[in-house]
Amino acid sequence: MSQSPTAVAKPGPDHYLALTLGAGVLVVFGGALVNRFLPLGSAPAPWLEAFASYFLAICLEATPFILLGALLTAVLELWLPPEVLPRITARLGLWGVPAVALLAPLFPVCECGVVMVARGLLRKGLPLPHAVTYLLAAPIINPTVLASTYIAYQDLAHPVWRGLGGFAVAVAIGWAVLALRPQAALATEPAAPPVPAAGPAPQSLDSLALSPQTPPPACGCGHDHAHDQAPAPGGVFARVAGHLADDFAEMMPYFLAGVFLASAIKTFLSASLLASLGGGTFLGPLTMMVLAGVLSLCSEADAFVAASFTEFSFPAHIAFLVLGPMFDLKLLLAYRLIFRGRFIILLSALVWLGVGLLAAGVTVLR
Amino acid sequence: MRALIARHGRALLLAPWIILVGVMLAGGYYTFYVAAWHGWLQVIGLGLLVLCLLATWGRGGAPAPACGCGHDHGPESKSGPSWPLLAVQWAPLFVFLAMGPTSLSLTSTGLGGQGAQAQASAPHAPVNPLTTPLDDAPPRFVDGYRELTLLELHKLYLDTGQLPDKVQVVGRGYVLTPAEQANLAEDQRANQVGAFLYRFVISCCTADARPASVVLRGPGEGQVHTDSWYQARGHPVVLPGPSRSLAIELDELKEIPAPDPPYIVATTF
Repeated sequence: MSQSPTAVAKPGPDHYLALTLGAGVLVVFGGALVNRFLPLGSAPAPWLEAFASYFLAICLEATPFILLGALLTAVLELWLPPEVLPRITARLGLWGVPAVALLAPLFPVCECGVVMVARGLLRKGLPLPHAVTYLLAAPIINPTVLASTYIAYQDLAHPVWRGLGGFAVAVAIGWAVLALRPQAALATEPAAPPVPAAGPAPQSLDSLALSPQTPPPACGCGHDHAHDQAPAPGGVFARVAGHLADDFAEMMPYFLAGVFLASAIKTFLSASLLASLGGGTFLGPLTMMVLAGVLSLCSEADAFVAASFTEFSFPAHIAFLVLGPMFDLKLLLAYRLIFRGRFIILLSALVWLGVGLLAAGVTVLR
Repeated sequence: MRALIARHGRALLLAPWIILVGVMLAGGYYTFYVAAWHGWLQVIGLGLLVLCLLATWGRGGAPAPACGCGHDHGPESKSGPSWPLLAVQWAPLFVFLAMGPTSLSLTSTGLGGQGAQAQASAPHAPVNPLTTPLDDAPPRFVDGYRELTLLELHKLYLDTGQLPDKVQVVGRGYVLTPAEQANLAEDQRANQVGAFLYRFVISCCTADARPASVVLRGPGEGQVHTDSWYQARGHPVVLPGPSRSLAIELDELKEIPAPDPPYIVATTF
C-alpha cells in the first residue's frame, strides 16, 4: 500500500459547495438559533419563516424520492451486468436515444431521484446522450406525473402534449449531445487515484461512459473496488445499503445548495408577482418558463400549480409543464454531481431553446 | 475526531436525516411542510435511512476521496468525509432547531409584504377549483352553520353556482394596507374590500402553496388582525362585479389557535 490510510485527498467542488452552503445557513439562520435558546425578545422576521418553510418542505418532500432513486441505483449497480446497456445501445444506434426516452417509465422516478439513477446508468456504460435523454424524459414520461397532470386539468390534451413535448425535447437534446465528447461533459474526479496494491487500474466515470467495453470489475458498479476481490462482510444487504448511503450522502450537498438557492428566490419573489410580468403569445410561454425554473416544484405536483395560472395560454402551460422537470434551480446544482459546469450551462440553454420551440410549435398547431 | 469520522463517517452523515425525519414524524411537524399523505413516504424514507445506518455501522467513512464515486473502496477511503461535507448534512436539522415549526403566511411570502400585495389583487380563488374534488362525506353542521374549508366553499360555489345559507370557516386574518387596497381590482375597491381570511392550499408540499380566501364583511371586520387565526360564522355572498369575490357577512368572529395542520390539503389522488 503506497498511500497512507489517513491520506486526505485534494478537496473537490463538493467540498467548497458544502463550505459555501454551511456559511449561508449559518449567516441566515444562526441568529435565529441564538434567539431561540437565549431569547432576545424578538420574533424571527416573517421572511425568515418563509425561507425555513420552503427549505424544509423541499428537503422533506424530496428526501424519500432521492433515497428511492439511490436504492434503484444501488440495485442496478449490483445486479445489472455492465455489458448489457452498452450492447443494446450499440445495436440500436441513433434509435437508442428515443428508445431510452420510451423506456424511461421502467424506472419511474421524479426529478429529484432521476439524477442518481442517471448517474448509475452512466456507470453501467449507458452513453452520455442516452443518459441525458433519460435524465430529461424520465420525470415527465412517468405514469404518476401524467396522471396528476390529467387530474389537475381534467382533460387529455395537457398530459398528451406534456408527454409528447417532453419526449420530443429530450430526444432532440439527446441527439444534439451525440456531437459532444463525453469527457467535455462529465464531471471528472478532482484527486489523482491512489495507486492500487493489486488488480486493474482505477477507472473514471468518463472512461466507463466512453468505453463501455472496458472489462467490468467484479461487483459491477464500475469502480475499482478493493472489496470486490473479497466480498464485503454483511453480504448483499450491506453492499446495497453501503451504495445507497454513499450515493445519498454524496448527492445531498448539491441538492441542499440548490434548495437553499430556490428557497431564497421563492421567499423574495412571489409567484403572483412573476405571473403578472406578462401573458400573450410570445411573453406568456417565457413567463411560465421563468416561473417553472424559479418555483422548483416536484413534477408530480407542478400541474396543480400550473393549472392555477388560468390567465396563460395553452402553449404557455405546456412550456411550464415540460421545462419544470428538466430545469429548475434545485436541479441545476444537483446536475453538478454528474456534469461539468460548462455542460450544465449548455444543457440549460438547449432545454430552454427546445421548450421555446415546442411552445411555438404548439401555438402553430393549435 | 478523525478516527471517529473515519470509523463512523456514514453514521454521522445519516444521523441528522434520521433525527430530522424522526422528529418531524414523531411530533407531527411534517404536516407544516408536506401534505399528510406524504407521511407514508417519510416513514419509508426513515426506514431506509435506519436500515442503511444499521447495515453500514462501523464499516468506514464515506465518500471515498480518491475515486470520487462515493463508495467504500477499501482501506484508502477510511479517512472518511471532510468536515464541511459532514456538517452540511446537518443543515436542515439546524434550520429546524433554529426556527422551530414554521408555516407560510401572506406576510412572509414576498419581500416586505409584496407577496401579500400581489395576492391581494386577486385574493379569492387563485386555486384552480378543478383540482379539488369535494369530500364525499355528508355535510358537517355546527350550531346550524355548515362547516367548510375555504377551498370547499369556493368549490361548492363554482360547481353549483349556489352557496349555503350559513357557513363556518377557519382562516388566517389579513388586513389590507391602503397601498394594497389601491392595487385591488376596480370592483373590489368599490366593494371596499379591507380584510379577509385566507388559508394556504397545498397539493404536495409548502413549495406549491396557493392561498384561498374569503372577504369579511360586517361589524366583526374591524376586529381582524393580520396573521391571527379566526373562526368565522356567517352568511356567504358573492360580491357584485367581475371579480365575483366570495365574502361572508359575519355573525360571529372568534380568534382561535393556529390549526394543525395550518394548510388545507387539496385531495389529488
